[in-house]
Amino acid sequence: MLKRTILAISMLLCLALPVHASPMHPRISLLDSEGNNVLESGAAVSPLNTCGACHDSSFITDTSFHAWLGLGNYGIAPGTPGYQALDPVTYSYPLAQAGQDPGSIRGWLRNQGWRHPGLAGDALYSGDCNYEYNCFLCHIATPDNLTRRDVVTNGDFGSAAQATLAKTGIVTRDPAGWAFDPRAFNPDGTVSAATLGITNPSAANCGQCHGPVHLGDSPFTLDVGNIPVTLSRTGEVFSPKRPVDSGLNLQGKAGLTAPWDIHAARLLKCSDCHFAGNDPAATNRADPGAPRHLSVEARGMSLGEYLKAPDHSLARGYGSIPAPGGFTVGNMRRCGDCHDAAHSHGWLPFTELHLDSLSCEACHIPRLNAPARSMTDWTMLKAPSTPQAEYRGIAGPLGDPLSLITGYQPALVRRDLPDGTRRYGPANLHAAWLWVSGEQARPVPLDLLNEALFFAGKHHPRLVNALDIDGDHRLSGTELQLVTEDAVQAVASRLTAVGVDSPRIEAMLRPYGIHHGAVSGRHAIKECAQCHGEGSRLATTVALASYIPGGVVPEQPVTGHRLLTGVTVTTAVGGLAYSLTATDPGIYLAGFHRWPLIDLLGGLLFVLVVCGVGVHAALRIAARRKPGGGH
Amino acid sequence: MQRVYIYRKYVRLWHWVQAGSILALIISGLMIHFPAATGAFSLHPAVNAHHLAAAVLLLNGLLGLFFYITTGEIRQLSIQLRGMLESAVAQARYYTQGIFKGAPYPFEKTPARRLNPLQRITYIAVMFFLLPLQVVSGSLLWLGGHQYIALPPELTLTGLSLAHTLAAWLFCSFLLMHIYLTTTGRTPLANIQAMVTGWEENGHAPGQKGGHADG
Repeated sequence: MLKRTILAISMLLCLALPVHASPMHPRISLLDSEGNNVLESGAAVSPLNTCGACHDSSFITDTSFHAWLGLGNYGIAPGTPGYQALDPVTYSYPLAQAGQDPGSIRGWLRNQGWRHPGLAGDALYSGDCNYEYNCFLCHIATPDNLTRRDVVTNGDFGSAAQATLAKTGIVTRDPAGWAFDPRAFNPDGTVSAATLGITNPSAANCGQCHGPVHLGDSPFTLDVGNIPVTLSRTGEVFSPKRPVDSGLNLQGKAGLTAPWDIHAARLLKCSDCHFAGNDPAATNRADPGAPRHLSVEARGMSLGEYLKAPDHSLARGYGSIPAPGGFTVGNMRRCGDCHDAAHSHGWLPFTELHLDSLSCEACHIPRLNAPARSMTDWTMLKAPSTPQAEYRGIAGPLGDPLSLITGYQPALVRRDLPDGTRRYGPANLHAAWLWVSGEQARPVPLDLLNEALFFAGKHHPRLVNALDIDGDHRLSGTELQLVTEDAVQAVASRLTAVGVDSPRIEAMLRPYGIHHGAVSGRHAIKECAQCHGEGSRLATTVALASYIPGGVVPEQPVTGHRLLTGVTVTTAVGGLAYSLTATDPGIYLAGFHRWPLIDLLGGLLFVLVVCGVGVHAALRIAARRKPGGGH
Repeated sequence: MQRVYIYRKYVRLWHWVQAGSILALIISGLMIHFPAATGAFSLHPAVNAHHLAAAVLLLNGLLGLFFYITTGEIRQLSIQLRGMLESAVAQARYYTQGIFKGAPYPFEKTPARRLNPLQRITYIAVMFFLLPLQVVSGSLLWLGGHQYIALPPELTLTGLSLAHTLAAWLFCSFLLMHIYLTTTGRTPLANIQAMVTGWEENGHAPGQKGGHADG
């Protein structure tokens, strides 16, 4: 009875609490960069000073790779061409590559900065950018990321944190600038945690930059003007809802009843797997060096110590794109940390072999019900900062709501991890073309590219003169495809004119790993023939691009842990495809791996025996029919 | 016409269990090797059936070996080098010429000596070379695939599958020949009937020296 009463009271208390805001968080004084209350100074809010009044903001920014994105060593091996550090979907490349002059850094921040929560340490003041690490972006329930993005792309980096609070009612924006609304503040100049909406980071917070995360009540739709980066890379959607209930024009929609992501449907959030480095609730497993009888390290730090200095090097896997060095990788919660696959997959022949050779995602992400990029062409932009792109998983233009989204089945790509494991897992193969410059083959900065290709918002007249085929004085369709030497030279000349050193086209092939969008066992792949048949997924041909800019064929990826065991092939219509081959000597796929010579000789022998037997039997019958013959 | 008790009960049981498991292995093996050709069936039950049939074959083979050794039946496979070539040639000549002319069967078949010289040579090759190659490669594929043992680097699953496939083709050819030669008895089904009942009518067909037990 007592237990029931406690449970009932606990549930009522939970229901009585606000959904988002942390009820235990004390009131907050919003401070500016000088440490003064913003209500008094009217200056822009400084998240690091505000949160740093109680939390160890220096420790947080030192440990947060989010604060160091774009800086430092990106784990690229010496001698690797500079463009290999680029994420070709977003044209995001390390800030360090932008050079150290303020102009380059500001340009980089305008184009790429909104993808980052901000900078910290000495980098914060590089080039007088004052793009401060923004705690609000992840720790309030209603961050206004679109407004923040707007101010960052306009170069107003100092207002980024302020803009993030635009939906809280604390701050307003008028033609004169940003102003704090005193009505949202307590008489002592503080704001309550509820007003600010202080919360643990939810999946929606992460989804602002990594997206798409859809947790709301409305049907999931695609904003074609703002395709989230993860969707472009892979087509992954993190949502508890079902495709059948979405607002998308999906092929076979009525049958798509599995949630977009089973983990989202089971109420997991990103930080459950990508937890804080010293979160006592997540990191109490004993170290590998602990005595064997200990599986849990009970002597964790207290909650108070953790809240004072939470380690922001969030646990993570081994990324598809280069990541800043110096931070731990491969420490996130993996499938096996929660699921006992060996126990639940006893029905699977050669269970251990399958579990050792395939990632869980190989079967539990059978299909992506969304389009994903197959190629991105940065050699000639459609509009400023807008590349030409082709998608797989959609029949028709991406922006057309009538285009049927067919979804796609990802390729299975080998992944060799530093812990010695080698598994095949799903990936979206993506090819990209871009201009590079200098001996180190660094990507041409986007600002320079825009300057070379455009004039007053339209394609540069010299390019129009050189590339306009239909005489309509504008460039569109195939006119934008640099597939002839003359077209390449025309753009190269423009790049040289704006100061790019020895511009040339490079191509890169990158498999983007797919880890979200998992389905339960009921919807997972169970057809052995998908891998074991003649059309094995491990040896399929994946279309990449309908044309090859500059005729440059990409080489094998040199970064990341995914190894493509195949070859690029040009198609009959001048496009590019990748032919995967399951030639790994450690892998044997019954039903797929055959021995043509053995099968030929064995089959021949069998046929010879059949013929011999047939002839012998016929002769016996003939002999028997002779008068006095046979037995 | 004389009825002779050629096959003891256990020999018959052993033979038909062996025949059934080999047939199951061949069918399930083909389903695994050529999944597209047997698209109506799933690979999963084929693999399980293959493993089950292999286990039956192996167990039956071991029990048979025990039986053949302890009862002395293993002598059925003994070869006397002296005159072996002549005997084999005579048997081959019978198959290639005599059988069409109603020539007498070259050897008399008795319960103690059921196999003709060519059979002995063939069965020795099958039992001591082909079957072990098939069983060992299959067992290693199974053990290595389940990771019950760690295969040396030079002994990959791929290499083992090559040996297994080669042996499987040879087995298929042997099986076809074996079944066909059972029809060369007094009547086309006489030898099959003998393997069912144990009794064979012996030695009374015109021009025959003894009954047939080919295959």
